[in-house]
Amino acid sequence: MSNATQLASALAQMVGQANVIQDQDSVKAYAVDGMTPKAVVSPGSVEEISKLLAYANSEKLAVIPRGNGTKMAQGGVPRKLDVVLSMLRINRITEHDVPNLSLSVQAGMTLAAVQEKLAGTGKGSFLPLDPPCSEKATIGGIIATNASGPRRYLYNTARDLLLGIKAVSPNGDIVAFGGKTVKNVSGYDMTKLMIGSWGALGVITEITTKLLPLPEASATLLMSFDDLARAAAMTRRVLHSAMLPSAMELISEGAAARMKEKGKYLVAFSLEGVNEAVERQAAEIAEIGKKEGAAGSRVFRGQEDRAFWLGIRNFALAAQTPVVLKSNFVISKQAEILESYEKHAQAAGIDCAFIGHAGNGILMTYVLGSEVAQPDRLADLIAKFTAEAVQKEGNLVVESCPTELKGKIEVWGQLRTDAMVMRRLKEKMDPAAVLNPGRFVGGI
Amino acid sequence: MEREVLIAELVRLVGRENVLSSAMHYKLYEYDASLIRSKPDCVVLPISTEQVSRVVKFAHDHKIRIIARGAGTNLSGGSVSIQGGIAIVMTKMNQILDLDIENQRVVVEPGVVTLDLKSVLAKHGYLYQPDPASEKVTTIGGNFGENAGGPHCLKYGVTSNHVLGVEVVLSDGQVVQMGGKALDNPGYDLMGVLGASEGTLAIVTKAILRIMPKAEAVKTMLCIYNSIEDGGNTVTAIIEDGIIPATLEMMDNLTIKAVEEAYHVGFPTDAAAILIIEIDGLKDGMERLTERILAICREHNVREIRVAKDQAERDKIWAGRKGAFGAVGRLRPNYLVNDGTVPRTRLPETLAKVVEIGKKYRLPIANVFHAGDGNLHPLILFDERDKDELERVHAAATEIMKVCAQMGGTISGEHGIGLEKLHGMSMIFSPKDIAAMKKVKEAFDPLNLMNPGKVLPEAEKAA
Amino acid sequence: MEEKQVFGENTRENIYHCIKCGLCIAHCPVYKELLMEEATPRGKVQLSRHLSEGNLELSEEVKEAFFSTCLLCGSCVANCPSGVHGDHLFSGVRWRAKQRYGIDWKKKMMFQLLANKWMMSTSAWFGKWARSMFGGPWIEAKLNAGALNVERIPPFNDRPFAASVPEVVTPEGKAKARVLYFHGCATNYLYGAIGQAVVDVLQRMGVEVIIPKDQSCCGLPIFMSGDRETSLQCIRETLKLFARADVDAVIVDCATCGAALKNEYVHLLQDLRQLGEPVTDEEIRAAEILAAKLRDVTVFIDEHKDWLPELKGDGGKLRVTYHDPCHLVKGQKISAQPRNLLKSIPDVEYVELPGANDCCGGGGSFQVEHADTSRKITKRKVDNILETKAQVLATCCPGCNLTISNHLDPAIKVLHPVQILQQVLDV
Repeated sequence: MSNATQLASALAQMVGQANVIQDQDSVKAYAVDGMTPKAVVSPGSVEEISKLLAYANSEKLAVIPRGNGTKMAQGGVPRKLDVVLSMLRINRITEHDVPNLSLSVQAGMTLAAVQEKLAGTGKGSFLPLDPPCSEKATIGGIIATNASGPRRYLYNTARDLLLGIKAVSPNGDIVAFGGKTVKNVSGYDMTKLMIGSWGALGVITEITTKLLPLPEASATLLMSFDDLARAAAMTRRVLHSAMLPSAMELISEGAAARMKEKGKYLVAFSLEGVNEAVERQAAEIAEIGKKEGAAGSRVFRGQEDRAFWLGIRNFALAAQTPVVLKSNFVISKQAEILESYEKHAQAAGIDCAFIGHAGNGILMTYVLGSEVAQPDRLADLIAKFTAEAVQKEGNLVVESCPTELKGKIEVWGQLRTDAMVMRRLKEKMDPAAVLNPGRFVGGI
Repeated sequence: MEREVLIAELVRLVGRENVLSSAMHYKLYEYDASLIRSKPDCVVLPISTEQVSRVVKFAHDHKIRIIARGAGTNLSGGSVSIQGGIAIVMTKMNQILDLDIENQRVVVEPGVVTLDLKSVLAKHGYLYQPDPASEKVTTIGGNFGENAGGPHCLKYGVTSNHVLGVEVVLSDGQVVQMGGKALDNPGYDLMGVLGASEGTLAIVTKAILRIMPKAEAVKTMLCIYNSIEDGGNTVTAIIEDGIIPATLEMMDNLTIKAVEEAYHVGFPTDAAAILIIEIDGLKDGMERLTERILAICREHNVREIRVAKDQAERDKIWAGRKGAFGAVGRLRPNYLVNDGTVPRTRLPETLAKVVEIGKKYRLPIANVFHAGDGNLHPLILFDERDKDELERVHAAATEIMKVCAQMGGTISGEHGIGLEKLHGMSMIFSPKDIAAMKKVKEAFDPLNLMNPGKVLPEAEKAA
Repeated sequence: MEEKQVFGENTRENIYHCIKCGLCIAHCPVYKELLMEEATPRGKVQLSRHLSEGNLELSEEVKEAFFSTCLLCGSCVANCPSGVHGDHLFSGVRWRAKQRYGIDWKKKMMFQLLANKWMMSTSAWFGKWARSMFGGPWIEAKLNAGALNVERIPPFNDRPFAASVPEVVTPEGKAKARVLYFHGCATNYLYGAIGQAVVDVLQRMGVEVIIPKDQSCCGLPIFMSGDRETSLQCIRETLKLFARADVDAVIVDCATCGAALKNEYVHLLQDLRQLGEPVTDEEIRAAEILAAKLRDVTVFIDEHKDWLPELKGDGGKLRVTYHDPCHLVKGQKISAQPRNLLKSIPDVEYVELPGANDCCGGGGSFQVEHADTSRKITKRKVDNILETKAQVLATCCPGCNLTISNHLDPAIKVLHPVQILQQVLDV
């Protein structure tokens, strides 16, 4: 185990002095759950990352990869932290094959930058992922955390989009899997394994993904309901119909208010596609809404449309909620879970806002700032929420919360029977526990 | 272990009626749809997860190799017991356990035949999207093990995109659940790595599948060309124009002739290539989309376009496509089907090279391909009784794999590596890549008992 | 192990065209129930290969596989993209198996009966007499006919059909065509009403119908059981009476007899000749002539539907569905004509049967010897029929008729389409 100076000099040799941060004040900004790293490195090439990890592996150092840190608050408290590995300099598009509708891009580029480039090239395309904070979230982080947003309803998530992945293994090996082809069954699907693996099996350096052409038209249809039952019936109707909105969100009153919208329960549909399809769906879904007793509905486009969805995606940021929970469960239980959560929250006297991906069985809970002063009551509430979700064949994950709370709750929800396999996998692939030790499911 | 003792123990574990152990049975389970043959030491047909678990645990405790198989239509030797051991045939586990329309899921045993499942779903107006050409005989478990695709995967993804949960038996007999009816269960995407693992990591005993309402409208077009190049260029042009059809399939002249002889579906036997294009979704704008596609076809010298008027015509077109492989058996007794995949834009080049390779080795090659996703299926035709020809066939197949790798593609798009393409793995993976995959294998199956000798080459050969 | 070849050269070539794609498996009614590779056509083709190449002994177990897991329904042949004739291979193996192991004495006796016309009609008469004298539910319940419920097997005709019609039936006015009618054993001894309906309808169409006396069994059940030698007797007898170029058609009312006369005779004779049996060129030519003239009665009626008088109903709706016999739809690819016939009958409300061309599970003696498997297959057919809520199940095969009616709600009538047509003509 090297001392701080030895470490810093070894790192400087690998990436250049200018790319190593080691002074006490600066490294504090890179703390994870209150643990300050000894150094922060910003490699400029994959070879440098390889050298770094090989070194860390032999010296048994703990490394946490980082983009812009938008998801650093998630996960268990690290068992150890020596180096934060910043991926921000690994940030180019390595290949944009326009006619093939595929893109190879490095981990350190932000999603917003990627989308801008894509929209402005040729006929215009996009990567159909809309996680929170895309202005800052980097590709590597998004993929490593399997982040997603409302448009997963139509476009699904990273595991349905990625064609290939390049990474550096915890022992420093530079590896590449998949490629540019939509179909690939050569060897194991390591791409899927890496998605959502929390940087614990390797550091993602580049992904290759398929793209979609930019839709011809888009609009949002927003309707409000006076009670949850009616709102839920609405989403159920649309779910089982041939309608193809790109997103379908259920928004509680508390959340709506913060978005400056009125209504007890709002249901928002994002419609994207050819003109005729967007218009038809706007009309038809509005009709269905009327039948299901919508109190009001309106359609908006252009800037208002974009701003609305930005508001949904960046809700936590805008409302500055320190605790964000993500529950997953079977699709049909959305209303039941929301109702039950509202009751529990009310009983606990804790102010929560809820937004759900109504067609996917996902519910985001945003706990307001003042509530963290009561960690025990909050922990109890989270436990109740988790039990509800588990009962509906799902689970609950804490996407962000203050470090103090982490000791009182299961940030990864209830352990399942496959946790043992995950542990075995981690032990095989990262025997020296170099990457993100202790932060993932089951403390691996 | 003595075979008699082995059999007796298996009888104890799954019952006499589920154990097959005669000379005839070993011959029956020595093959799949590839050219590879090798006998298992014993065959069992379990009827429950419990039985599978017991058999696997027993095998594990006595270091006996095992292989799980479904209908045995594997094209790369994945279902063949090349190192002996117990063949665990999953065909008797063929129940649909839970049709959950409300949650858009269906839970099935792995032996359910894919098309049978789809027929049941169709009654409710629902679909399970993956549609491999062999769907009327393949099982869900087999599809998952190979990560089968099919024409519709261009738009909808492959099997692993539609398997959201599994119950598996691990190499030591333990039963665990991965994923579930709900999305986003926390942890590694273990299920993701099981897809396409060809039975080398675990045995699936239950699968939870994603189902969706069938599309409101569908349009199927048959486009006839006088040159393969024009067909290939049409494919690229359609995608480039920003249209993602549900399918984009192509067949060359030799295949068209075989299919017509077998099925009489009305494909013109003098066409150099035909393209089957299908779009689906909401009916609004479909006419305009169709027009755009047809305009692109015309820009690329299409000779004739036929749009299917009704379901019956649509079925006929697809019957011709889905029976294509088997139909070439009329031209020559055997075929070896390549499964190389290249980026779509490089398809015409790759095809030209395939034609050259056919000439070089003096072998007729019929081509069927999922043009939309660049997955070619050159069918190299021969008679396996001719040993010289067989050698040339293997050489041609290897060369085709090399070409695909060089084009920035891969050696297997959907049929799996099995044994047949093992020697091609070094064309697309470095020794370090293989080492990383080996670690996954070791984590799941430390004793290397599950379908050994498949997918990953020995370390030395990987260089 | 026999020194002799298992298959004739042409038949053997089939083996090498099997690419093991497995698509046949999707269509095999036995595999659906048993789920094992031996029950698949592919599996049996591969076993045929090993038998042919001398790598596998024709053991009892192998013999069992070829008999107990195959109805010789031909579904695999109809759906094999490579055109492999599994049925030729499988019946070839049965032949060698029969030579090695002999045939069950009861079956042997039955085949001798079928092949010997005098013995057949005598025993049919005896059977009828015995049943009327000694029959009754409690005796019949004790008899074992495998999957068949004895009490629901139809009684023998009062007298053989052939004895109840003249040799030549002439129409009113000038005959528009002249046909030979091969009535087959089932119609002759059990389903005389069908025979009568065929003759009546053809006569009303202005056709002269010649019903040769002393017809033989078509031989198919005999050679499908492996007894090719005995079946040769039937084939030769049939060729003598029916291989005539001077008639317009040879009519059959039975799918199996039709398949035999149209598809099997030529192939079988050629195969036997390749295997060293004395078969002459004339015999093969005669079989070809017969094959060319062969018409299922529904095909003939459909081809000449304008010869039918105007059909008038009486307003009473009859809900009818149709089962495709394997030997008609798969062997002879006939499925439209029977449906056309039914749909053209006024008062018939035609409803398509789900899985119409799924095997009925009878397979002749299969349902007696392999009751379990047979019952499962038949059950699927019966369930589908009940789903249609049809009042009548129409089918063109007395074998299917026997099997299905044996397990179907007795309120649902099972008739040959030509019988339904006859009723309307009588009106």
